[in-house]
Amino acid sequence: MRETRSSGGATMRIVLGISLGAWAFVGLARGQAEEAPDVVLEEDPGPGLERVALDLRVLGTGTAPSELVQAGLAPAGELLRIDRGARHGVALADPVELLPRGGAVHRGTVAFVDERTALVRLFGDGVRLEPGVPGVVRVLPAPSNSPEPGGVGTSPGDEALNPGDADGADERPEWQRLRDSWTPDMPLLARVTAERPEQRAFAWGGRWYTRAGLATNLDADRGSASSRTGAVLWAENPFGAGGELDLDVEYDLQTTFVPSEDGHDSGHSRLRFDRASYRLGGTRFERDRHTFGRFLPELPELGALDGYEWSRRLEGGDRIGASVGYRVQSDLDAATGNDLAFSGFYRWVADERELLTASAGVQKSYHNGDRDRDLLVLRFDHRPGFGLDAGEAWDLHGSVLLDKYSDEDFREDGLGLTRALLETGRSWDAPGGKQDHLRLSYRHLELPEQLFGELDPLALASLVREDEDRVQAEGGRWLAEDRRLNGAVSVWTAGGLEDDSGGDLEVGLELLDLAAYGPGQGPGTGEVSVFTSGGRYQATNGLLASYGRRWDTVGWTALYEAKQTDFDGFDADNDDLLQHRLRVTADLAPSLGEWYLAGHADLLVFGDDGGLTLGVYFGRSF
Amino acid sequence: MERGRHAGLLLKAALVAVIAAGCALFQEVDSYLEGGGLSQDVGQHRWWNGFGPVLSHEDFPADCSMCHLGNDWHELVEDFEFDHGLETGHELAGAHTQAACLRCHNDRGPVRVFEARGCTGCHEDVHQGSLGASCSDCHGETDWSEASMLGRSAIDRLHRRSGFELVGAHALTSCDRCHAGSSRGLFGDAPKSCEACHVGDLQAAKAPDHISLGWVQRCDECHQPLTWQEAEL
Repeated sequence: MRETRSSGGATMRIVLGISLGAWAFVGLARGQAEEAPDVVLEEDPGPGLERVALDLRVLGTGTAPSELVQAGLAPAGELLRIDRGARHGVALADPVELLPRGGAVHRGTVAFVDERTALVRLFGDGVRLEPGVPGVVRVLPAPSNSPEPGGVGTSPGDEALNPGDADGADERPEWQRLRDSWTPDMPLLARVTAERPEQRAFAWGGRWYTRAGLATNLDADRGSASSRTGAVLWAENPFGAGGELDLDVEYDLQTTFVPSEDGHDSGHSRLRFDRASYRLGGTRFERDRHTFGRFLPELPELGALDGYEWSRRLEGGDRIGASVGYRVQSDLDAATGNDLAFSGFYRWVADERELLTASAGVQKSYHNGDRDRDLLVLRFDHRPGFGLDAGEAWDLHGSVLLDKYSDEDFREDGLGLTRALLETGRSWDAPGGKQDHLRLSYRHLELPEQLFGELDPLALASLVREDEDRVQAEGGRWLAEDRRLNGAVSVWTAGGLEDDSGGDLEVGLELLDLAAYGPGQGPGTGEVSVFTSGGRYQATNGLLASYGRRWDTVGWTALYEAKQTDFDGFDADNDDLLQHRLRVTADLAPSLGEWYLAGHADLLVFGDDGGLTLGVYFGRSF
Repeated sequence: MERGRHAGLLLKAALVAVIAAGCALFQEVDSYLEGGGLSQDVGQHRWWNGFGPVLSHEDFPADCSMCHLGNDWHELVEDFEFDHGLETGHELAGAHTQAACLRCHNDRGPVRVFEARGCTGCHEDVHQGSLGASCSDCHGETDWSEASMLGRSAIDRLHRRSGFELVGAHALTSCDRCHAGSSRGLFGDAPKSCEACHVGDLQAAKAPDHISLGWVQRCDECHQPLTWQEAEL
């Protein structure tokens, strides 16, 4: 196998250095090419060498690093990004031809190269090419082991697909698979065999994690300690029927300690299963899906169940389903066995891409045999901005939970709005491949009157009359490649006993290129923001500043926050509270996706009191 | 006054809804007029009918042994690597770089559909729809657990925007003391009124006897959330 001109292990720094030198070298030729775009810039590779045409695809657009642009070594403005880079043998000034549909041929030269992609400057103005447009870049062959024309896997691009095969190819066992029993009397375009779920090999994986925390006051005589250790496991085709097994289990320990004269320490430990389910079907070969055990239904707003759900994918992509089981309560114990629920749902999709969907679900539940909750769920999603073909578009998400009340309840007859959520947002391309964004949301929350939980009558009287409405706008705009302006504003009202209203405003600046202090590589990053919030009985103003640095997979952040809260209705000596928070965090992920370690220490001072919190988290995927 | 506030909020909400729905509808109509709208996706239709492998291999090298080992399709060569960003234009990040291919590319649906659904296309919504669709507001891609995803400032922000500024002892209290289902991702059930969480303290307050005096609401008219031990008058 041949070697590419830049090895696959070349670092970005090396590539930048090469780029700087080579750019200066070919600068004159590039200028000539701009003046005479019809000339294909293809320097003489030398005696006996011919350039190799390397297939490529357009990935999108990008800009050269600002330091190169400022030094005059790279062109400013938007360039075209292609999916071939130094590891494929691409170098500065290599000629590129792009072949969009319609027969046009656009030519250009490579203006910047990194390891896996390159930026191309096209001859001519106003040319816009979409991602996916094919083309070729003509690269110089490697110094030795020239590719064999027509050979499979002999072009630089093929080599990139199979790193490491130079050493190991000959050691692999000989390929023995027959051509799917094909015989000469069969058509050449026979249907490709598709593996079915039950034919797939058994596979499993998951992660486990543990986290521990300690919170104590400054006198260290009052506080709490907790730990949570859990595992999430999945298994594909565990019984040879093509199903999937899911398990999510956690063991919690918590203790609260208080001074002896105040009472006794308290604590609890519990083992909790959040998921323990087996799912069968629901594939392109089996439209019916059956789920048993403890699971979250397809319409998650219906809540976790211990039971069974059936669903079917209809022609066109709509789904219909029904379930029966005991509701799992949303408390620490995940108690079950009291609330028997019968549910059904229908999910409509505008087309098979499922960019526009609407769902409706109903659930009728009985608490220890007594009629309890009649729930109606409505939900819709419009997500044109998602997916590989994402463009700049508004997405829209909404969900509504309605509870039906009758004469037997404390409230008047009819439907009560328990929860409503409406969100919309979109993003815009910003310099440096970043994105500005804006999100608007409205939320209504009202606690439903339910029998389960067996609440204390006093608490129930308070709870059932709680409701809240909130409108919020949040956005971020990149002012430059290294700084973003963030802002958020919201207003809210709380009805019922709370009878309050208020709002908040926050403006902040996120900085990615700060002077370097403390351990780490590259520049520091940080954030400064000011905020204010107010309600009927209190108002808070504050500021926050953070700074951190990273190595590749290790990072730390220090954060300081101060906020002043003024309380209405108190005398002057006792009507305000100044709170300081100093927090240091560190995280370590030496092998992304395999294991992760994080910790924090948090010092809080308010008035004459304060506290300290410590926490550590360790997780490992397998 | 109360009614007016609600009316104002509902008006704003309605305005947001109308703008959003209008934008969405306009885009859909525009897309339809351009011919790319509510039409059937032929590729997906073939996929759902079981044609071909889960993931199209049309652009792959013709030599199967470059990736597959032995005489079936189950096993991949030991040194198998696939540069997702390079080959598909869709860069994987964080834990996704280590995920088995079949976790996303499987028989349960075309991966483009999963992606169109956002994060919940593959990850079930443990919040049961209560927190909306903007997963990335709180979650990163390195690790899904809350300890690694929410900085303290993010927690403070969420509370500020909900009208419950974390001040004093509340800023040191573990989540599950107020959000009983927090360890399961359920946060929406915490009322903001003091007595909802401190009902035990209220019943124990005998000097003076709060309940007999009718002092059962609006605790923050007299108390501040300053200490661990008791509210300060």
